[in-house]
Amino acid sequence: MALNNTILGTELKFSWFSITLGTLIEAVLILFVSVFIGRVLRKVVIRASKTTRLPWIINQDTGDIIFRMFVLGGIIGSLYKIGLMAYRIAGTTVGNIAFAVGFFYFMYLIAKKSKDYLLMGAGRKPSSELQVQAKVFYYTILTVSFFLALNLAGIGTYLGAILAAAGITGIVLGFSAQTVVSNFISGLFMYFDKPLNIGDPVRIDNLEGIVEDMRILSTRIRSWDGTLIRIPNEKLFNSNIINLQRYPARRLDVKIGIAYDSDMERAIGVIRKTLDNMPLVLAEPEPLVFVEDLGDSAIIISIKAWAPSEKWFSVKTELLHKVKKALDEAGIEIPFPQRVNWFANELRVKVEGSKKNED
Amino acid sequence: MFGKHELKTKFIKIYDKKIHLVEKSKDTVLYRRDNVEVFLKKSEDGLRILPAPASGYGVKFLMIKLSQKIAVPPKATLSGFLSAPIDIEVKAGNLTIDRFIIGREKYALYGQDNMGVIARYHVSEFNEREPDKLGVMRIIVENPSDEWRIVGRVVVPIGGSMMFYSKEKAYYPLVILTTKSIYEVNNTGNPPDGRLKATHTAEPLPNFKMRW
Repeated sequence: MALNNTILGTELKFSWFSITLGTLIEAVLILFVSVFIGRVLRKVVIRASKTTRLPWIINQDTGDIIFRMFVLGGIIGSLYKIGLMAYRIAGTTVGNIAFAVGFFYFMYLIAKKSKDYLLMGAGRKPSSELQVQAKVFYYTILTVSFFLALNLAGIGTYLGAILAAAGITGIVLGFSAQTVVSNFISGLFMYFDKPLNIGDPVRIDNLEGIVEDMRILSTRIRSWDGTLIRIPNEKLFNSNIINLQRYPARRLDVKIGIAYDSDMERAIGVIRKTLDNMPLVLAEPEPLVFVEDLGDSAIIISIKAWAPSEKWFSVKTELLHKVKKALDEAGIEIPFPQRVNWFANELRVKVEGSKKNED
Repeated sequence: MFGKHELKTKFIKIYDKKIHLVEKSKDTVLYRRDNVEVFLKKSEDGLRILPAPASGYGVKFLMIKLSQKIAVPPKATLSGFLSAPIDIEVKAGNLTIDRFIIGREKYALYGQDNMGVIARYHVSEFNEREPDKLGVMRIIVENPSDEWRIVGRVVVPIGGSMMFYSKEKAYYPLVILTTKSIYEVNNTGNPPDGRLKATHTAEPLPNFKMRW
């Protein structure tokens, strides 16, 4: 017993703080037990979600939130045990700040989940009014939580001073570094607006590529040819951003001209069969194939087919290749541009040297 | 076909694909399928050919469209079978050395174009008896409501799902479709038949609400 006490009382000294072995073991145990309880509760919630009559509350998301709460609680508890949370910074303790950050994070998760369920509860397509209400609800919760978190962090009393200082600083910065501040503010707006995420393929004005990184002042795009494009956030914010992969499916629009003497119905049948045999041309929404126009040189057949967004380019190239091949095999001609000229008066052709021959 | 295979020279035919094992030396075997080749050192583990959920290029749902819709009276239960596509996984020990798709591969968008999911697509008829197909799904349709309900398609979560198999056929876990106001699909993870072997053990998948 005495030996145990001696071992557990062994002091581990670091350059800036010291801790006994017993305390360290207790801290690790707190973390371990929290993670364990979190995992068990997560499993219980997921199992319960299969039989519950309240699936909007008891589901996998709730299980995940509970698990994260326990993990974060365990980390904070362990750090309290070690004594790191007692350190004072700017008139408050690290513990208060950590607790406030944790509180805000979970309020954010709860607000987000509540917003999602508000929208899901509305059925297939929530009205735009409900969408606005859900957003207002979400941002209200976030704002209230933010100020509560500031109070929990112990810096609520300085809030007025912080805001005043921020205002004065803003004016000074506004004059001295207008472009930098503008880029920064645009970056913040972009963060909340979320028109793009890292990894999204995008088209911004005449630039195209994958979003590589989103920084405070600029966004970096890796273009298709492997070059890096840096776009200041202000410019990006004012540009037309086309996110090529925001939605799960994307439509391919292809037009093909066939000769006037070809059988239109047969051509449409051949194209439909080709599309049906292509795995990544989605069965639903069903592809449309129809005669769109009677052109100068050809009957224009339009194809409107959907493909998974991430496979759009490869499906388009494959579709063009396969449709051309199928039409060739079916003997359906894709004609060159051609023009038939009619002359109002009969044409007379004068052949050089003809008079001489007559003589 | 499904299950453990000794590492020696032989052909294994799986639906429309062929696997060729060639003994290169006393200790090594070459695995070949279409353009895939893996050089294997012999082991007592052998090679396991297992069915896998039809996730294709990486989707997490399987949408089975019923060629004839089924209508279920209030408070009634209907049990039956659907044919279902499967993928094939070839394993040496716990390492997957090959994964491929057999039969027809097709995908569809389930839901709206701005918030749906891409799912593997298959058309099947509803059978009261087990169909003579390579991939089979047993389904129970429960109608707890006071109204008649109609079912035209089933969307099943399959990401990471376990599978069951006999020597010749592959089975998805038992699926229960409950026709509440929003239809709910439960991939139970339970075998449709107690005599079948499981490919692996997995956590139960969350229920899927068919909102569209």
